[in-house]
Order: sequence, then C-alpha cells, then structure tokens
Amino acid sequence: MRMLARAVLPGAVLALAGAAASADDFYRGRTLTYVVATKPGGNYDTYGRLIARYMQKHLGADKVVVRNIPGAGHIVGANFIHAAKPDGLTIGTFNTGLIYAQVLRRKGVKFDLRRMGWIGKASTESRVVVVKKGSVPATIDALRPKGEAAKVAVSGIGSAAYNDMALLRAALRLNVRLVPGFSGNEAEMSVLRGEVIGTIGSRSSLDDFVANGHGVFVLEIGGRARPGLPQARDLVRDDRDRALVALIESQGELGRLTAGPPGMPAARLAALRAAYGKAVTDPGLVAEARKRGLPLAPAVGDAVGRIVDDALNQPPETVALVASVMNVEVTTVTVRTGLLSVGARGRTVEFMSGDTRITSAVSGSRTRVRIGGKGADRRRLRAGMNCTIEFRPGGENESRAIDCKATGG
Amino acid sequence: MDVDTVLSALAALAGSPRLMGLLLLAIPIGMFFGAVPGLGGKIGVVLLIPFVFGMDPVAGSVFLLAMHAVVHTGGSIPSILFGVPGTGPDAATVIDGFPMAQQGRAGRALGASLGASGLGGVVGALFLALMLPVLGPVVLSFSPAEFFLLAILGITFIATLSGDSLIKGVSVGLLGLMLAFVGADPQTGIDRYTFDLLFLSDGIDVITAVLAFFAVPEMIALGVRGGAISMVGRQAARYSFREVVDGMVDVFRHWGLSLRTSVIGAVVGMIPGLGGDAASWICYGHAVQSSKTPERFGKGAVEGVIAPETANNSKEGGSLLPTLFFGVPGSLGMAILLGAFVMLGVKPGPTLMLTGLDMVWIFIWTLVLANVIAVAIFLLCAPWFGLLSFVRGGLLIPFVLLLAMLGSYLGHGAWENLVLLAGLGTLGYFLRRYGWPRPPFVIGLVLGPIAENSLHKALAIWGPTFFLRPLSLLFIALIVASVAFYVVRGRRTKRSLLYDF
Repeated sequence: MRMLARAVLPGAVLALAGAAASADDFYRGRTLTYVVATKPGGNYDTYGRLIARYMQKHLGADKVVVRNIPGAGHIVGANFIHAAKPDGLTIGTFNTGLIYAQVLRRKGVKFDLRRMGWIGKASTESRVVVVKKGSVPATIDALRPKGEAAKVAVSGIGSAAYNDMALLRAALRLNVRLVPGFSGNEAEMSVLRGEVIGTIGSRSSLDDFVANGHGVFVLEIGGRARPGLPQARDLVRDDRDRALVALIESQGELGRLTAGPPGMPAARLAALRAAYGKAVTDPGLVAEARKRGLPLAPAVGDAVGRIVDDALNQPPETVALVASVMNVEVTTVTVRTGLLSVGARGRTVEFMSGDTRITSAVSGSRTRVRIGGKGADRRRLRAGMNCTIEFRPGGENESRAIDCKATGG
Repeated sequence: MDVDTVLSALAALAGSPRLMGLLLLAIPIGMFFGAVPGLGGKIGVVLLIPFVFGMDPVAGSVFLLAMHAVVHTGGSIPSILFGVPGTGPDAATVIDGFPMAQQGRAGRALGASLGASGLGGVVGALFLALMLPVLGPVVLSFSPAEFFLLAILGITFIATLSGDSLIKGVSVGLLGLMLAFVGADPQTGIDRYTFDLLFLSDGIDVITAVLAFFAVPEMIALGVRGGAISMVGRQAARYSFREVVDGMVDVFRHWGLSLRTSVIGAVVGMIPGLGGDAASWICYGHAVQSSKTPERFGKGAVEGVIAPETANNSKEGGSLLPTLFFGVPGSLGMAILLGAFVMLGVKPGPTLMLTGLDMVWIFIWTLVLANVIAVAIFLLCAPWFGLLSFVRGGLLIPFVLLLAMLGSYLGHGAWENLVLLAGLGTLGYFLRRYGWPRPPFVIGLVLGPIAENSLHKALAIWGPTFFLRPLSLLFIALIVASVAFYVVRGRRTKRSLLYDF
C-alpha cells in the first residue's frame, strides 16, 4: 500500500499540475479556508496549519485562513466541511476515526466520506501497544493474563485509541479491561504510576516514552515489519479477526486527511490536489515537519479515496461485530420501498435497502406495524405494499417500525 | 542545585540584549491575549509558533514562556473593570474584583491583582526550582483517586461560598453540577441531556457559563440602575498611582494568604489533569475559609482578588514541572508549549534533568523576570485602566456585552454558545436580583467533570477501596476538616448572634 502511494504520488502531481494550470488563476486574489476539526494546539491543528501555509504558496492564493471548528470528536468540523459551498475555497482536516462514526451510523453524522472530495493525506502511522518497563512477560502475553483482566489506559470512548484497543481485544482474544478517559499523555502517566499495565497509541506519540526507558513495545499494528516486534496481522487466523485488524491498519494508513466537500468542480479539485502534492513535498515543509517531530508519508487524490472506500465498505456482519465490540448501539436504517415478499405469518419481510436485499425479522411485540396510518397486525403485511421500514442492520435485521400505505382494493 | 548554575543562568538571560528584548516583546503580547476575553494564552502560543520557528531553542522558548507567563496578569483587567473574565481561571477574580470597581476602588483591585500575579509568578518559579530534585515521586503519587478527592474538596467550598444561605448556595452549586453532566458520558460514550444536539455533545462551555453568570447580569443590572460601573463618584474615589500601589501593598499585608495560595496554585499546576480553572477556585475557596470575616467576600474583599490571582500565575511554574521532566503537559496550554519546545529542539524528558539543567534555570529566571517586569509595565498603565470604571454605563454596556459575546463565540466558533449566553445570562440576572449566590454554580460546573472522570477511573483501577491509599486518606481528612470548620464557624456565629441580645 505504501509502495503504491509512493509510486502514485509523483505521477499524480505531474498529471494534476497540467490539469491545474487552467484553474490556477481562480485562486489568485482569493482566500482559501482550511478547517481544522479540533481546538487549536493539537496535532491535527499543527499539521493543518503547516499544510495550509504551504498550500497557499503553491496555489497562488491570496490568503489562507485556518478555522478551528471543534466539537463532538471532529464530527462538527467534518459536517461543516461536507456542507460547505463546493467552490474549492473551503477544505479541511479531521480524524480518520470518523470512518468508524460513519460505519456505525453515529447520530449527528451529516457527512458521507464516500462522496467527499479527497485531496490527500499527510502521514502513515502504525499503532503500537506499549507495556510498562519491567512487566513480566514483556510481550503481548502480558495482555492475556489468566484470571483478572489486565488494565489498559486509553483515551475517551469513541476515540481512535479506544476503538483500536477494543477491536484489537476482540481480534487477538486479549483479556484486558479498558480504562477510558485519559487524554493526551495522561495514559502514559498512568502507566508510569503503575495503575495500568500499558496503553495503545500511534508510534510517534509513544516513541519518547519507550526511548526514555519507561515502557516496552510489545505489538505493532500496521506499518512495515520491524525485527523483534510482532505485527498484529501475523497473529490472527480467521477472516473475522483479519477484517478487524485490517480496519485498525486502515486507520493508521490514512493519517491527517485533507478533504473538501462533495461536488467540487473537477479542475479545482485537481488544482487543490496538485498544490497539496507540492506542499507536502516542499523542502521547507519537510524540514519543518522533521524539526517538529511530525512524520510524513503523503498520498494524494484518488489513492486516498480508494482506501477510504475500502474501509467503509464493511459487510453488515462486520458492522454488527464492530458495533458490539465497541458497545455502541447502532442506530437504525430507514428505507422507503416495496415489500418483495412476506414470510409466513408476517414474521419476516424482504425488501431492497440500496443494492442489498434484506430479510428483516418482524417482531410481534417490538416492531410497530401500521397500515394506512392505523396500527395493524404483522399478518396483514403483503408483498408489493409500499412501506417505510426502519430496521437495525446486523443479525436478523430486526425492524423497529413498518409503515405501509393501504393497498387499494 | 549549585549556586553557580543558578547565577550564571541569570547572567546569561539578563546579560543578553537579544533575550531580554524578546522577553520585553513577549510581555505586552501575553497580556493582550489574556485581556481580550476568549483569546487566552493557548491561541497566543499557537499563533506565535510560526514566528519562533527557526530561532535557537533558548531564544524561542524564552519568548513563548514569557508570553504565556503573563497571560493571566492581563486577564485580570477586564475581570475587575467589567466583570468579564479574560480567561477561564480569571473568573474567580470577578467575584470580588468587580464589586471593588463598583465601589470606586478599581485602582486598588488592579494593584492587588498586579502584586498578586507578580508574587504568584515568582513563587511558582521558585517552586519549580525547589521541586526539581524531588519531582519524580511527587508527581507520580497523584493518581485519579487524588484528583477525585481534590475535586470534592473544591466542591465543599461551595458551602463556604454560599454567603448567608447555605440552602441557596448548595442549590446553585448542584445546578452547576447538573449542567456539568451535559454531554457525552465518559464511561459509555452516550450523550446525556444533549437533546440530540451535536453542539452539546462536548458539554456546556465554561467560558460561556462564566460570562453568562457574571458579565451579563452585571451589565443588565447596570442598565437598570443607570450611572457608571463605579457607584461612587469620581471625586469621592481616590484613584491614582497611590491607590494602585496601595493594592500592591495589600498583597504583603496579607502575606500569609498570598504565600499559601501561591503554593497551592503551584501544586495544583504541577498535577497534570486538574486544569487551570481548578487552581483559582480552590484558592478562592481557601481564602474565604481562612478569613475571620467571610461575609465580606463577594462584596469587594481584596483577599478575594489576591488569592485567585496568585494561583493563576504560580500554576504556570508548577505546570512546567511535568511538562519539562516527563514530557507530559501539566495543562492544555503546556501541551502546546510542549509541541513548541520539541520544535525548537528542547527535548523534554528525564535527560533534561541531567544535561539541560542550565536551560531549565534560564526558564525559571524567565518566569521570574517576566512576572516582575509585567508588574512594572502594568503599574504604569493601571491608573488609566481604572478610569474606565467611571465611564457612563450607556457607553460601556454595549462594549462589554460585545466583549462577552466575543469571548463566548471565540472558544468554539459555535453560534449556539451565544444562545446559551443569553439564556444563562437571564438566569444569572434573576439569581442576582433575588440574592442567590453565583460562584457555587461555576465551581459545580468546573469541578463536576473532573470529579466524575476521576471517580470512574479510580473505580476502574482499584475498585471501591481506592480511597484507602495514603494520599487519598490525607485528602479525605482535609475534606472532613473543611466541612467541620464551616459547621463550627456557623455555630459560633449563631451563638454570638444569640449573645447579642
């Protein structure tokens, strides 16, 4: 994947530079708004400001304004970018973890990552699991104690570290108890104090901790293989576990995304991608990033979109699995369509949800069935009725409500 | 810690025109960022990082550190003059600072805050210096269990800040606590009381709440009352240099309190995870508790300005400790500074103790000098600031309300905060009108989440017996003492009232 990105990048820049030439004049005299979905000061803000500055230079824009729009774990910022006018003057960055948010249909998500105008990503970071120096054993088996679960410090529920650890626990059958709520480096302090046995995080954030002798790397997820440090993908056997590890790896793959709203004119998107590509390879930016300890492994344009698509296209079983692993109640999906068939005594119905044929269980007690606006028994459902069906994807796809128009005659 | 290193660091700093120049440049910038509500030191550092990129490590760090150190010195200006806190931690200064301005004593309040900031900053730097050898074990002994108990200790101060009616105080405090739980549950991630609004998912913004409860009601009341902020005419008030200096001397008149709150502030700053707001409120509460005449608080007691202002500045020194030596930031502002240090080439971590001690001493002296020079600069301008409290309300109210709206909006760029400002502001006005205390609300709002998060962590790590740790038992004893103190004093006052017959 990395090789692909490295091969694609120079080619993409050249091709896009050509297409962008015509859109060059558009940015002259105009202001580009770069949205950062966090408060000022964190890593997203740092990368964002750095990239925005160099993009201004390469776009020939009059000004670039960095706007911080924090809230709800990057969702507010991402909503904003998605809803912005697609004239190429508003782009921004947000957490790759929003992939989880979309997969699990979290409430409040108003964006569709599939449709956003992908500009590029700046880094690739593997995730690592670290345990306290002096733990016995100093391997991943420290997280598989017999008896009482080992405690691991992670950041808030729904955050990247939390999600990664929860999925890892399921994929590797670990015996750990997640202690959430540690933000920033607090997790490392907790390991130092001996309250927890270890923590998970991106490689660059935990490098110093290990270098200073406080901890030991025991597992890596994603990135290239390193001697003496096992990779999660080598420790899993069946497809389910492999899918979970792949999901974690894709998170690390797509570090520091930059995207614009859906529907931007092709020429402007090309211009943005070209400028981004030049910005992230600009020697000035590279030097600054190195000095500030910000790893860089950029990719531009479609390559990014493809990885996002892959990560988003999870079969319903995986969605259900991810949801159950993360203890999230998946919200329902609502479709308005015709019933393809009705099972015996109305216990199941079949219909199309998008391109997927869904068989949904209809509960006598939990599903609310209405025909013609009035409450009805499920046995009165007929194939061919036009209904609005609200169901929970996964497992039996149980319907919460079925509202059908009364059939004439 | 040998005298040679200490003094040569001072010589290196004071003797270098470049470093001193940067220091002098940084001070007004820092005070500006503190004085404009909603900006704050964090944005200041973020905006200045591109400018210091490329500087040598010492110069860049001195510049940023000096700027950050004096943010709260500037933040007290609008707090005292308009009742609009410049930054979150300055909210506690409003409680007594603004009434002082209303009594025509703005100059004195500014002087007190100035002296307190200076003293606090110096003590904080000293604290940093003294703690260097024993840093490791001390910082490591503070765990979520202790955070929880510290937060509870702070919450018990609600009682002391209730003024004459405990019931009213506790009710308002519980209201604050209740609103503190709005947002995503830290344990389950489920949104509570958010009415499906993404905006509330992160909880109620503290700055907005503070502005709504203090600035807005005061402006409404001012409009209703008419006149200027100062209810005392200009002739009657003795504003002048004299008054400001008087205020500064106040800090030394109450030297016991000043020193205590400086140390408490530094300790709170040293503990990563508690946050700057907690320091000023805990110290304010301590000032009320330790005073022989607590009824004066909320009505213009100068100790109510001294206590939080010392804490605001001393916590900077304290929070440098974990930042420099563990690479774990002591506060959000420190997190950004940490990034800047790394960028400049300063490598925080235990190695700094071994190889970079001379640089650390330059930092310590930077804190000292920045605070002292800020006092001098502020001193020159203070009397003119004081004049603002005599300006007619009609001119001032729109300006102050605009400042408040700015402060509320700038934090998150969310217009919904303005709606919240209006709503809570109205509530705040009615609380004021009918004599209900407002500080307990902020305490509940600020300390509630800390208490809840820490409690959950402590339970997850140790189970229900977490409070049996030695340091925890100490804090429990402090809490019991604090409550007992309040009860005993209450009884004594009642008894003395009885005897007045």
